[in-house]
Amino acid sequence: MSESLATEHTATYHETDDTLSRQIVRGVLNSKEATFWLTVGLIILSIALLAPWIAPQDPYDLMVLDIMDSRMPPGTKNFDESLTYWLGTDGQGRDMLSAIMYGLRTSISVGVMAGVIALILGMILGLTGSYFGGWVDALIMRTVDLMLGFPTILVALILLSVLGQGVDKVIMALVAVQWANYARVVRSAALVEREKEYIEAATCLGLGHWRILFKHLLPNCLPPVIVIGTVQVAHAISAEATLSFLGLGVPITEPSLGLLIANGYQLLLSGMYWISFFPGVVLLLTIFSINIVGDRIREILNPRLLQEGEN
Amino acid sequence: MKTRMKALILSLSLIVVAGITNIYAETVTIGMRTNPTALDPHFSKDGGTQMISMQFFETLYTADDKMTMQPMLAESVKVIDKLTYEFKLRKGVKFHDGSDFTAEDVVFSLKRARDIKNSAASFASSVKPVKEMKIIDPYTLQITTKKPSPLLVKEVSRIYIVSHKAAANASTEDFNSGKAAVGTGSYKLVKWTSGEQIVMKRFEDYWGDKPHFEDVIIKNISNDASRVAGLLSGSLDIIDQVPPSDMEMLKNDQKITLWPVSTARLIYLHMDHARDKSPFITDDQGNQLAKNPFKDKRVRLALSKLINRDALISRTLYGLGEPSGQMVPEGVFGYNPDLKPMEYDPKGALALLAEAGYPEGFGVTVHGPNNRYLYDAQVIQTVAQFLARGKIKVKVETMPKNVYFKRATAREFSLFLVGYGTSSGDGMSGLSLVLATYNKETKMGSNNRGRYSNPEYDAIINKAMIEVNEPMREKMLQDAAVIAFGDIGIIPMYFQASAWATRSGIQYNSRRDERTLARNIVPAM
Repeated sequence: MSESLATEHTATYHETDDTLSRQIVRGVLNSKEATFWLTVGLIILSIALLAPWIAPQDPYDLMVLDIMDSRMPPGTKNFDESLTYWLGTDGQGRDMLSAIMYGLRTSISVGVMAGVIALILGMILGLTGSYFGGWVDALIMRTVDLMLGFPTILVALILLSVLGQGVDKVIMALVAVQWANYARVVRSAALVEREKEYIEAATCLGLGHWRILFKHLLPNCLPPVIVIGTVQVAHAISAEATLSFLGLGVPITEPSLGLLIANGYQLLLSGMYWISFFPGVVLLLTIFSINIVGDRIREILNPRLLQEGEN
Repeated sequence: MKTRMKALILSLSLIVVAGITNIYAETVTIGMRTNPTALDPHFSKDGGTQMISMQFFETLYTADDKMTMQPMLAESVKVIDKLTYEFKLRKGVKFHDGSDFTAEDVVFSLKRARDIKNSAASFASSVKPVKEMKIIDPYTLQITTKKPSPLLVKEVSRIYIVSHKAAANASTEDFNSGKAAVGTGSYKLVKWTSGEQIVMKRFEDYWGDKPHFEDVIIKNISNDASRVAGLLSGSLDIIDQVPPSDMEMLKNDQKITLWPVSTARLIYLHMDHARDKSPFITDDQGNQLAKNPFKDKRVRLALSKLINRDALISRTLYGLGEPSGQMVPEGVFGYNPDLKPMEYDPKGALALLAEAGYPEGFGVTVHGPNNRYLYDAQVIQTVAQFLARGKIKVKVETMPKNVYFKRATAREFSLFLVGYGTSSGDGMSGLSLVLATYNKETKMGSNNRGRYSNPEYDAIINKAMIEVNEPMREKMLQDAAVIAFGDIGIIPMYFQASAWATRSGIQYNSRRDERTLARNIVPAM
């Protein structure tokens, strides 16, 4: 009896899981606004992925940069007219268009990497805490409270000044400040789920802890994780931009969007707007598109919101 | 009725007179970045305090706008023997309280500077070589030193002369309140509001050329943007330390004039000369190189030839620099007119590198601070760009100054950017600290983080340290510079510049030492 119940439930969630992704896609495409921003997001993503092949210049190759071409306004041609700087150049003579494409690549990969690693880490800890309860839960959740008690940027700044600079260090710092958010969301979702009969059934069957955790509990906790995942990736991208803006992120010869903005903001008053403006717009579009699509997914996964409208 | 008429005529004529003399009664308001710690000129030798002391007080000799020493309260100095100097003092100099300046004030001031209490950075070291002071007559003073001290005149000229009557037993607070702040300078103190402003008035009995403006207000505004905003809004007439990023905007403003000057702060590249295996040197594939290419003079020369100093200054520094081929700029003692900045010559550099056995270059990381010098991180990137033209695979790493200088001094780098500012107007300090062989005991070469070492050079420097004959000492410093820069002991790049900005109509006679003096503000010609 109990065995058949468990099998049935396993089947159920597989089915829900399947419809979950379909449900999301359908829901996003149903909204014109979300579809538009999804398209923008996908275009930005493909630009980032294809940057080395479509960028007019390799902005990280010091050989091709020419200081004499620095701070050229948009539309200027270079010395032998072989290249037009459509978005101008920065203080080192980098083509802004290429620099933005490459910078986007850095920003997105840092954001996504940090997001994914933090998600995995936070999920494992959150599930473990909720499932085992007791001192394990207390230890994990008090650490989470402690982490969330500090301002994100402050913790990241301290970590980076200890760890040193570099893309890998930035990812580590971002993971350190973000995992707690995932852990908390996963735990609260899992606390509800673990009281349900199918978990009880699985326990009665004598299945191992880890199997119950990852094969039964985890898939049913996914909806809120997906929502917070989108928010946190956008957050990681903006945090990376902030850190680079403060001069603690990526190496200065390989600028991300935040560093490009930092390089130009002092020149805004002097009329050289393009060094900060264009990277700023691209950063804004990236974060905005992720947030809009994320919002839509939240509405889809929480039917009450669809009925009552946004609160 | 009659009296009324009289009063009317009187007031009208007063207005007319005031109108005519208006230009002389003009007030000028200065926006100054630094802030004095005290108005006691002996309290601290930090730049912000000295800049204010210089408005009210004077010294025996002084550095002029080009940092060349000129007599001020002393008229001349005679070297009697290796240990004795005789100063002839200026006659007819009055203090702000009307009393006469005499040798007694000099003796009092030197002693006070030596014994000052609670000072974080006192002038005691400047008075240290003095063994004895003897007043021959009110305008003749003999100073004997403990051992031959060629820099004695410059050192005692760092001490501001205060009135021995007004400042007798005066504490630093007495100076701050204005009671004891009695000097011989062209301006006298009216009131100081700590951290905010200093009000001063022209001293009408000044012995030299009187400054143009009668009333001067110095506002201490450390925030760059606020200073610029104050100038643009018209509440300030002149600001110092113009932020480079605002240069372009101010240059295009018809109502603003810029007064740039190149300072005596040399920005240079230091190379690891000493070790066979240097930490950040790799082959073109990125493997650590067993040989240190910087030990080869041809490589160092090639690097210097790769630096396009003019492009670096015009593009990266917004024109705020002067190309350099030695430690000190023209006007500073020891400057050698024959040492010109290295010509930009990428072809010659490639040939030299090939000849030295690096036709395909090598890999190196350039290190530097990102918050110490004007546009330092940008400059390092541009330098990396230049080196890449010589097929050198360059990486760039910048860090905050507190981390950077610790690591640089611990010799953790192979190629790195540093600055050295000559503040004394004498080239000796830079040559002995940056290029002399490192010696922990004597403190020689304490800034020599690349460990350049040439016995021939050291011998000349050691001789110059005890030479009291100025022309001979100057020749020694010039000869030493030829050796060190011929060896490319360091790669000099440029003298960092700074600028003042004024509203149009007034002019600032820029000073190489970056000091903002009210007396240097004059109406524009």
